[in-house]
Amino acid sequence: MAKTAQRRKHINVPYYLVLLLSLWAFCGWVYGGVFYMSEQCSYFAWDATLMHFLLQQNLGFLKAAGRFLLLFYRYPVLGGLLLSSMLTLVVWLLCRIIPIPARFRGLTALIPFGFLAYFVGLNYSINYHRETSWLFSLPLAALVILAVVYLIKRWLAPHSSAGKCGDKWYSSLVPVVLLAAFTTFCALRRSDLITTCSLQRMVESRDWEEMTDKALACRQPSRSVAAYFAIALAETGQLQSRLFELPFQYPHYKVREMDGQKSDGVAIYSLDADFYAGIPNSSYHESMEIMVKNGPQLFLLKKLARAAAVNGEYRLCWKYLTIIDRNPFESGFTKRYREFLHHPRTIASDPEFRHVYAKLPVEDTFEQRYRKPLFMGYSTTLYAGRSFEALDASLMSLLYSKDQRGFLDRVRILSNTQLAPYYQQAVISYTLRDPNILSQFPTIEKNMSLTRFQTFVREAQMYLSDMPRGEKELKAEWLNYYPYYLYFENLQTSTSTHSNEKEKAGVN
Amino acid sequence: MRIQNIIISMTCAAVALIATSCSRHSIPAQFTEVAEEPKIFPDYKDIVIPPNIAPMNFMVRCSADRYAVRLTAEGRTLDAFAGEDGKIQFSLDAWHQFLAAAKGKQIKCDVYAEAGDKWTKYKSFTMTVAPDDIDGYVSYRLIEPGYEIYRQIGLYQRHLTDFDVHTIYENNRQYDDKNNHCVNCHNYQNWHTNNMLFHIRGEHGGTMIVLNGRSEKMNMKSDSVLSSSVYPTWHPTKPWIVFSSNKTGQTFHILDRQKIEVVDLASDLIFYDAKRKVIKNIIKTSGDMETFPCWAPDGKRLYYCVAHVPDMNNMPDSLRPRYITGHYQQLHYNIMSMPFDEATQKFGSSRMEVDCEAMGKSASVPRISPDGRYMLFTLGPYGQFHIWHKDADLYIKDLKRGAIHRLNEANSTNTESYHAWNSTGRWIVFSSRRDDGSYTRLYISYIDRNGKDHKAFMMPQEDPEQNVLLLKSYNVPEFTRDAVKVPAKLFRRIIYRTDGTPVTYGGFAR
Repeated sequence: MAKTAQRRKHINVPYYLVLLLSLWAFCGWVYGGVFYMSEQCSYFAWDATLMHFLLQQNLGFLKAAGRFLLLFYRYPVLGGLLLSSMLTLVVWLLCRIIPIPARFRGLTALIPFGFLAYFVGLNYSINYHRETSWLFSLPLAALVILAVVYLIKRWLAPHSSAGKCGDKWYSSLVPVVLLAAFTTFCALRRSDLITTCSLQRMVESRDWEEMTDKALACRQPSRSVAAYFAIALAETGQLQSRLFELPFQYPHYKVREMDGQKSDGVAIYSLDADFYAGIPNSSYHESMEIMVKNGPQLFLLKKLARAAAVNGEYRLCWKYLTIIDRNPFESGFTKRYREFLHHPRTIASDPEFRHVYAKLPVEDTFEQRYRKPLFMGYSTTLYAGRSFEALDASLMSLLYSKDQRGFLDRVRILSNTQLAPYYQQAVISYTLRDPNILSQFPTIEKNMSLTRFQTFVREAQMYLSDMPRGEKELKAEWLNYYPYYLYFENLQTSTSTHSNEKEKAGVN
Repeated sequence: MRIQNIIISMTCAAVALIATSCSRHSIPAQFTEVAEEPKIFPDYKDIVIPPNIAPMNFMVRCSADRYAVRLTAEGRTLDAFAGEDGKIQFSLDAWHQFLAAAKGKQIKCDVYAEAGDKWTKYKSFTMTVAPDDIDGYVSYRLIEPGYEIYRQIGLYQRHLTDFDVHTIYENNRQYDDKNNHCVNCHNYQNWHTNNMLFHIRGEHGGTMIVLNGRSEKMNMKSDSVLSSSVYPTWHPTKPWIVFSSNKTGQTFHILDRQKIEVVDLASDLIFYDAKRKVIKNIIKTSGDMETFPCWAPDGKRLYYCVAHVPDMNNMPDSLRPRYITGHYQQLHYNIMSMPFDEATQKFGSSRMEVDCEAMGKSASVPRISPDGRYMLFTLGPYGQFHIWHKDADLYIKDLKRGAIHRLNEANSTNTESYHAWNSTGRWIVFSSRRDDGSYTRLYISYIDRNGKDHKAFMMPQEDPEQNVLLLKSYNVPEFTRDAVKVPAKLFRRIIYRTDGTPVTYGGFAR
């Protein structure tokens, strides 16, 4: 009887196992995609030339070690396992060093979750102008310090019983509760960031249909989600039929720039948006500017290689591929692009790139002529294009920007053809300003279109003084109807792009 | 006994390992000869090299397991070996001994490659060792081939006889918004570092001038001068510097692969007496844009580039950017020169040296050879910032005979720009983007006594792959005979702690 009681007293409820599994669930699955992008926004190679920029910084070697460990996040489940193991080990060592009473043991789960909370709290700034290796560097530093302290303590007091007592059964509940809390928070307040990171990953694998589904499943899509959604639609020829399926009510967030100022973080997605809008030069420009500020990152090197390939700068592309190749796990990307370099003619006919070529500018001009962000400024001011695809991209940009006059100026060229539904809806909605506009578009089926529009107007009128409520009440019925977007969605002012004169050299 | 056996076994194993290693590093006796040339990087085939240059390490780019290279000259040989990576790296001491013996002679290079136990010997190529030494050092700036943003920028000096690189100055290693600044336009008097300068832009801005070894940051701004002092040229013997003063902007192409167009909105020439700290205008015009000054080696003439833009006469500043970006392809810079009177510190009337406008071209960076015989310059289709013009090439004018010719051997099909003579006039160094069209690398070419150029070669690196992996461009190469003596820490202290000594405006130097 006494033996059973004693055994029960020292039964180790597997607190550390539950902690490990909870952390792993979060790091590998819930936030795994975000940390995957942390790995992509980093760069590691076993080469002094390539790592020189990092090693000469303060704590350069620690950062390099962190970047090495971050490599495992190429596979989020694996990276998550490594990170959660390190964090669990930190807690275990701490419990061995500090005699925490068993009844409080569960609270030690706050340490690793608190650490992760910092990264979750960064929101979009997590991978933006930030050294992403801290995700591993800090736990690594903590492990080393704690391990040394633990070993010293063991040497000095080999018979210490700190941390060896069994845990209370409720200790294991703490990590589970924390996991649930974190997961709920992320589902409510970070779904757009998680979705953005997933979409950025999918661009590389060209999973356009999956990207579309992923974006539509997002609880409150941000501008970055919308941008990648539009890219996926453009690549699959669905831009003018599905763009407004996405609810355009952007969450408010700001990212911190290097000078401490806050901005809308357009650069997070404009590298890709510029490229797929048909201006790879601008994609290259923006990627280079970020690389100048932060040093090489896989994400940027890939954008640079891609832009160089499409621009016909094959030796430049080859240089970037050589550098990317020094990073393990990227052979899939480099192999694909090396194939392009061996057969350059296949680039123009590639299913992904031919859409880009179709939207290239007809003539050269300067970026300064266009408002920012460039992918919008360029698309909304096009008056000549290489293809109807370019025209459609321009028209849809104008519809998105709610530039009705600009849209009508350009859509007139299609007035004698069967217009896409959004175009028809946009023309119809202009009848409020100019009732005679329909006479210029004989192919629009007036009766049905007008009837539907008038129904919308009747239902919308009662919400004109309360747009946010109108947006919610009318959504179920009118989402994906252009006039609904025009009057009730995307009501925020345009994005603010960041500019810091201190960063500029004038001429390099 | 047991210990003895262990020691003996380990010793035998070590000897066997060493013996095996030695036998792995030898020029193969049996091989198949092929007629093709080996693919190597950098391209060091059939070049002329200085007798005091660092080892010309290169990579063999054929698919093989092992490589061997034998250099032969004057009965001597020098071997080097590489594994799969193909990096051929010569021993520094052995290289210099070999080169000393081959001075003025030709070196034969044989490259062997082993794939699957079979050796192949490629067609030999040569390197010719010139009789003329190259200056000991070249300075340059390292910066990304970026657009407007800068972060970590540095000025460095490379010892050309080995691979030592000394930092002249670096702005920062991590971005620091409060202290961020750029450095550029380093320049030396007469290939010596006793008198030198560079500019600092942004926070802690000014011009660092080292005069007789003493460093001081100057505030070169004056209300009577157009703008900051930019491109410098030292008088060969006096503490006088002519700068261009430029208002510069950039525009970014949305389609053109050349990506960036750097334009001057206005530019003038100014004269600075570094000893008296007095600045004067030389040419201050509204409709002409003068830039890239260069003293003749005897100090009696000043060469410069000028674009004549009568439409911009008295044009308000606010309208200039639009005008320039609309007409940038019509801007043609000619090369002019004007006499200089040392006694009065006055310049005379200008005369045309090269009418580039008539050629439909545009010049930049005129540089006179140390013997005053030749003028080296870059010629491009338009404008003056030719590093972004793929058609830009190096040209030379024989100032004695007046003939102008393109450096056919030194140039490539891509950009060549910013060049400098060494102190003897036998070597030039220049920026080239021939390797990938974007990242500038330094190329050196031999100019023989007849003014003929020879095939240019990339400045050698200890690791030949460094030029592929480096994500920065080399800028503004300048030869010097000696090393910069001012420590980088002292430069930093002066830059950060001083506001810059103001200069006095002294009127016109004409």
